[in-house]
Amino acid sequence: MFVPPYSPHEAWKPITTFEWNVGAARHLLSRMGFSATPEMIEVTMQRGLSRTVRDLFRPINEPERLQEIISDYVQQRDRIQELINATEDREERERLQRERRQYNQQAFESFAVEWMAFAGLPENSAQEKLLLLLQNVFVVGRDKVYDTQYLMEHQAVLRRGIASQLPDLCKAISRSPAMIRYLDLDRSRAGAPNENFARELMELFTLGEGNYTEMDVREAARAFTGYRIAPDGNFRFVEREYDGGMKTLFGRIARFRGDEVIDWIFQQPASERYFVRQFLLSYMSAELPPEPYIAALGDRWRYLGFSIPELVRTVLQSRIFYEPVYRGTIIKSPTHYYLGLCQELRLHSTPVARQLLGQLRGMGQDFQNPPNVRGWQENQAWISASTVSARRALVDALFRAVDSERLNADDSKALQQAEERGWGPFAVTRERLLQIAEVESMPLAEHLARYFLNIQPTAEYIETLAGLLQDDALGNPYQRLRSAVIALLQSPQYQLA
Amino acid sequence: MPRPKPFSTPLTRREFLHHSGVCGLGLLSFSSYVPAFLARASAAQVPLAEKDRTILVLVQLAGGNDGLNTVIPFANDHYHKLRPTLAITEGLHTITENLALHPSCGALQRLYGDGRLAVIQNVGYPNPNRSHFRSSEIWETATDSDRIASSGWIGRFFDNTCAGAPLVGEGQGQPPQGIHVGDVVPQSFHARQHHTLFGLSRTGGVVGGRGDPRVDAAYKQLLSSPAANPQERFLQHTMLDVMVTEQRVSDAISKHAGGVDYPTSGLARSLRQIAALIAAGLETRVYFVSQGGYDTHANQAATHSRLLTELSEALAAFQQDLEMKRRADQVTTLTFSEFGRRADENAGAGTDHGAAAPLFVMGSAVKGGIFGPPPELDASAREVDFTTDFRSVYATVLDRWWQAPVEPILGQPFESMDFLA
Repeated sequence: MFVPPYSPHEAWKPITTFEWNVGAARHLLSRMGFSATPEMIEVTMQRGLSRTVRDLFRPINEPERLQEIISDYVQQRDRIQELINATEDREERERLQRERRQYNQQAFESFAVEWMAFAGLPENSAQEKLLLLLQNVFVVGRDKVYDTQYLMEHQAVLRRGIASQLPDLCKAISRSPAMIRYLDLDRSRAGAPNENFARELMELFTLGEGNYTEMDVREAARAFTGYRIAPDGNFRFVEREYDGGMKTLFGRIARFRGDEVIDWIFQQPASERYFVRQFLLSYMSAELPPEPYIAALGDRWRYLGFSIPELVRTVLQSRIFYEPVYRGTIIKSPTHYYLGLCQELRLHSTPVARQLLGQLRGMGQDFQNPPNVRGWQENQAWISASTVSARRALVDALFRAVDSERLNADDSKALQQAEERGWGPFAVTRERLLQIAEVESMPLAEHLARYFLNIQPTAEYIETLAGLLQDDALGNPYQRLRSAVIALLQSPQYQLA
Repeated sequence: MPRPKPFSTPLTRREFLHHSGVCGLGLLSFSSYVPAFLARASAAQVPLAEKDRTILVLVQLAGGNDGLNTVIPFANDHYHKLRPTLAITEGLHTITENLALHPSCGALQRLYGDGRLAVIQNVGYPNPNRSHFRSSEIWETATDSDRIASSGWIGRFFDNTCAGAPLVGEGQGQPPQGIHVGDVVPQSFHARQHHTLFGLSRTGGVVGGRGDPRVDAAYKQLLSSPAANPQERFLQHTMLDVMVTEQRVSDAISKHAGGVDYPTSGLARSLRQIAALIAAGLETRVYFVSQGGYDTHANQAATHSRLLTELSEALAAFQQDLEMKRRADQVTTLTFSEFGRRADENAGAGTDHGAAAPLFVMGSAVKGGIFGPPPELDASAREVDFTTDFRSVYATVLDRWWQAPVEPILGQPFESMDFLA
């Protein structure tokens, strides 16, 4: 394990301007967002570290298009629901139910396409990358939640929460209909509390395994009784379902309500370290620094009132974050990989939902549908035989012009509408590739490695790349360039941030 | 225009290095892991001993299967009182005078009748943990509930027995030692040493199927250049293995699928592929497939019934297929779930996380019957206490099925049971 040559207290202080350079900027960008193109590095160098980090999440960018999708869908769904309620005819009812499912599916597909488009814009990337982490902590899954409105609104709650303090965000997610359904809060009532939410609140959202007892879970479950989803899809607290009795939680006896449970949880020492660990695992390194370093950051974060932006700012400016041993060691998530490719190749993510969802699922990150309430395990867990093949297939697809013959009617319509909105291109053109390869100051292989890779590859890697660019067996110069760049983007080195 | 080099799929990593024309560079630069591989390759090439033929198929019932409604103690009054709405009274598949299988488990009842299904009662461990993840981890790493381990029990079996295993013959490649269905490597497979693992996609077959031979050629060359940091080496290692294995697995599935009719569930589809790979003579010793959805906190009855139908019918088809393919003597199938559910139902016509539960062992080599006493229930019972430590089940597989040493793999001795001869 890497032990920094300075104290835990020193570790989280900002680096000096002397240490801030192009390499550090690349590291910052590749962790803060999805890519670090030469243009982005230049802008960041000019702005400097403290300004870049200070302006994060001010303000939160709202994806208006996603709001429209929700309201359109809700309107259609509720209209059909009224028809379902009114009909006596069984066949008609089944037809309407199919139609309702179809609207739900369509809304879900638009959600995926529009979110990728929104997150892929460089000005939104840092915000949406942090959102990915929050979604991987406060997990809900499409399998169980099902309704697209709930999924989208849950995401909106988390997005607004980026600028808040973690205890407040926890309270907000306990009222999120998606969460209420996902962890069975809507089944929990006085006299028959359901423990699912209370358990995950402590185990996966705030404290971590080993920092609470079974009794804490049972008692907290009683405090979260009466949380319901109203017919209009909003949160509703039903007082008569709520267990107003005394509860014993972490040694204190009181008539806890749900929010008070959360406040009391954040008084427990483990609360200042749990989320910090999740954040560091995702942003700094798969191998956490020694415990005293976590404790020092946790201590500071409690002092900062559990403010999420303050935690992000502290870490992204810190001395320890820029340690060479941590650079280039995080394996990009499938979403990071996808959006990074789009940004670096200056592509728009595909408007064809079927294709997009299949690609993400194949790489192991099914949109809005993690394998379970623990979320995705990240880093090496992203890599297996099938996901590696799917990553390669994605790059292949980005270098292939859209084959209109293979599109069905819905796909073609989506493509046409996207082009009308000025989206595109969706695949790498010859011009674009030649533009990327334009270089005078250094050999082409070195240029490509610098352009795309977050790590310094071995000399042999560069030599091999140079060999490919001159290999007659790979075709004419353009074909050689194309094959070499695709292979580079599929290679182990490009998977790292 | 010069034509691309013909690039047939290499069959081994060694052959791959030859093909890539990077032997001189490659062998040195791969030094972090090539020695083990070469050591294996240079070991004597002998036919597989009988003990190296036996295969285990693990079927995970993810979410915590409700044992009391799977193997039902229908004659116990407390069962009915604890479960006023969920107790099953009709359509039972009786297997003893006190026990019956769930109405959806007709196919399993027939296997039980033929002596190819063992039911092990109340399997669990001391100080049960009710977290899905922690309890799955305990099952997969086979540790005491207060100890954390990073390697899985199957991974340690690989570490112990497969590292020195000979290559099966020139040109046949290093087979994956474990194959799992789905994108995530199960924790059971995590090991201290590197082993070849392979993931089948849930939708069928391998994910690969490449297009442009020029890109493939370029990729293979870049992949064989040395890596700088450990994460790069991990990626490189995995990607090399994938390339070699993809071809073999998809060939095997396309040649050997078919035989009996399987149901249409995802589990059945996965087991069908596994049967094809076994029939193809793949040297893989362990297959892992997961069926999810058992976390039935609310409105359990219909969901549980559907899951058990899928399970029962998929297992029966798999067993029949193996028998038709004359591979049944080689294969034992074991189900497991992270925990059972509470003895008493909750207010939402579901059940919450509990402790011990029964598991199934299926196969021609299995000694059928019930192992262990029926669950002990009383009026205030909240959960089923364990009477068999799950590691005794593992120990039986290790000792009697694989002739592998129990103590180095499980960390402590466990008695074998009699469900295997």
